[in-house]
Amino acid sequence: MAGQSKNNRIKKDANNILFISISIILIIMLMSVVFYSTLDAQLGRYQNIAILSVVALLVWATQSRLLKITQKPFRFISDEPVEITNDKLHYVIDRLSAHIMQGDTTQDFVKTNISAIEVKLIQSMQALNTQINSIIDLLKSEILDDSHDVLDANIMQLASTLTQYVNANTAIEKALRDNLKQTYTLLLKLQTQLEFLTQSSVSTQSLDIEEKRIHDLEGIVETHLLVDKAIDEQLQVVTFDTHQSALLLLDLMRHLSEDAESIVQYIANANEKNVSKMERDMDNSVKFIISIEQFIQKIQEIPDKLRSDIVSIQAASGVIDGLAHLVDSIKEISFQTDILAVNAAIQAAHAGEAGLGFKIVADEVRKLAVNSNNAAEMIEMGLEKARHTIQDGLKFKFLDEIMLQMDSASQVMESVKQLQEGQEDMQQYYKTLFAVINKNNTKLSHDISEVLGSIQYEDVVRQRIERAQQVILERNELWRQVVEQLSTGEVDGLITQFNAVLSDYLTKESYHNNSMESSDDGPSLKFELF
Amino acid sequence: MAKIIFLVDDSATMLMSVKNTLEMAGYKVETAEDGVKAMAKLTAGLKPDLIITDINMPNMGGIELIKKARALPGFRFLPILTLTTESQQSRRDEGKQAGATGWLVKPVGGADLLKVIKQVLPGA
Repeated sequence: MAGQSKNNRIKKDANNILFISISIILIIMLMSVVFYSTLDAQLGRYQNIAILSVVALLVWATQSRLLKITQKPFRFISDEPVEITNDKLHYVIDRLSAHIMQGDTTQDFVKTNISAIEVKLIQSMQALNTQINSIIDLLKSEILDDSHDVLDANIMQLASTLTQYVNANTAIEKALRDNLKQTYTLLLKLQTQLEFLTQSSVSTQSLDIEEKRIHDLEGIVETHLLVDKAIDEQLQVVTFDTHQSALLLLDLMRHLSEDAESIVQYIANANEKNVSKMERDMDNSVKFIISIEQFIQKIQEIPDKLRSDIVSIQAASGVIDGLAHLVDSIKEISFQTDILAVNAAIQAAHAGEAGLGFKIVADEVRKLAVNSNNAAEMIEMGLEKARHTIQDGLKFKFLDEIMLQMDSASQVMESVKQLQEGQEDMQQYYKTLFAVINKNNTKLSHDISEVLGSIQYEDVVRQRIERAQQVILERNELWRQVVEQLSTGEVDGLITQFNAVLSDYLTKESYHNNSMESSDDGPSLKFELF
Repeated sequence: MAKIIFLVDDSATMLMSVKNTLEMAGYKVETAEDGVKAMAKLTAGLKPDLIITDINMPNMGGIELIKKARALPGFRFLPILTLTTESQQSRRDEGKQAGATGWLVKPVGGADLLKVIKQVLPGA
């Protein structure tokens, strides 16, 4: 608005000058025609030169005047009283103060957003923990399809949190930048006004005082602009770091999700491939186990069978022994009969002829005794044979049984071997599976750990913003003092204070030189053990 | 028996992120939000194997905490690391004089942090 009215005024002035100069040239030309004879008589052949000289002089004067008008800056009206210029200055400063007050609102916004970022990041961390736990859970369980969904949901949630984090940071940066931009515009206006004031021709006694105050204000404004520039530079660092850390986080998250995905994929594939084999192994194992059970049952039956066989053998042996006693009795009877027959034969010999018949009976009795003894021996031999036959028969029966059991045992051994092989296969499978899971878990842990390191940038950025907030607060306080002291006293002391605020801020910032940009400083700067 | 690390920082995100890193590495972690709360826990009988503290904190900063902790019985040779955004030499010297074992500048990645901890914690 001010620029436009200034242009209009210049245009108007230029038009007036042009109009007046053309009018004068026309009048000169008219007069030269009217007074031709008089001029001719007076000037003779110099007449034309004189007229052209006057016109040229007039054109030069007009040009220089026009040039002066266009180059001359806008001035306060020269006869404007000091009070009015002071009022104008106050107006601009009041506006500036009002704007600075608005800056407080911006800072509240920044503070709220910083807390929001913290909350978001903590939520993000919790989401990470949930994810890790869910990965561990899915490794423990075999419900892979559900785990896939859980993992996907967690990754989506993390991505969304990160986006919110980046958005919150961008909002902060924009709010601070807008605030700086508005202050900057207002300050430039103030600076222009101050320049006008110094050039204005206020012809009062308070001119010197006024000029000094204006000079001081200019100094303050310049320092203010330097403070703003310093803050702006730090904001650029904040922006850079935020973007870098967000990119880093996103990259790490990508790795994380890839690792997690590969674990799930591996387990899913491994299960698909091995499930049928495992089922077959399981079926075989069941068969083997049944045959082992049957074998065990048979083994358990053996003692009973043995016992009953032994009892039968003992019974048979008892009967044979009983018969053997009878044979002995027969032998004894036969022996006694033989002795009796011998005695009878002796007695018959003593009796002479009368005993002849008796001798024949005695001989026959003796023959009977011999025959009885022979029969008893034959029975004994038969019994012995029978005993051997029973024992041999039982022996062979046992052998058959043992052979049968041996067959079963070798079958069982085969089953056990196959069972062991199956189990070893399964053990090997789980060993490989857990080795892969363990490897991926280590990678996951490392990735998560690096994500946590990257999140620390939030603290670095927060502290940088807090320092910017602090310097803005101190600067605003000084501005309030400027406004208060402008009408009552001197403001030159405030320049020193402004400079002190700036220098303090720059020193503090130099103490915290840990942007991602300066990470090339080497490990000695980052870690130092005393 | 897991080693105990006492973490002191006013930033909730720092506490949470570093705590997670350390716990995942198998350490037991105790935390406090500033020097005053940290001293309260130490005087109440907490015996950590390592203290990691921030420098700029409300109520009581890290330098003062290190000085006070060193004066406690049994804390003379305890490793104390600082974890701060400050990197200038004068502050490092201040930390060293107060009794800090080492100076770490934020941000520190998980692997790097664990490497430094292993250096100052024998047998960890």
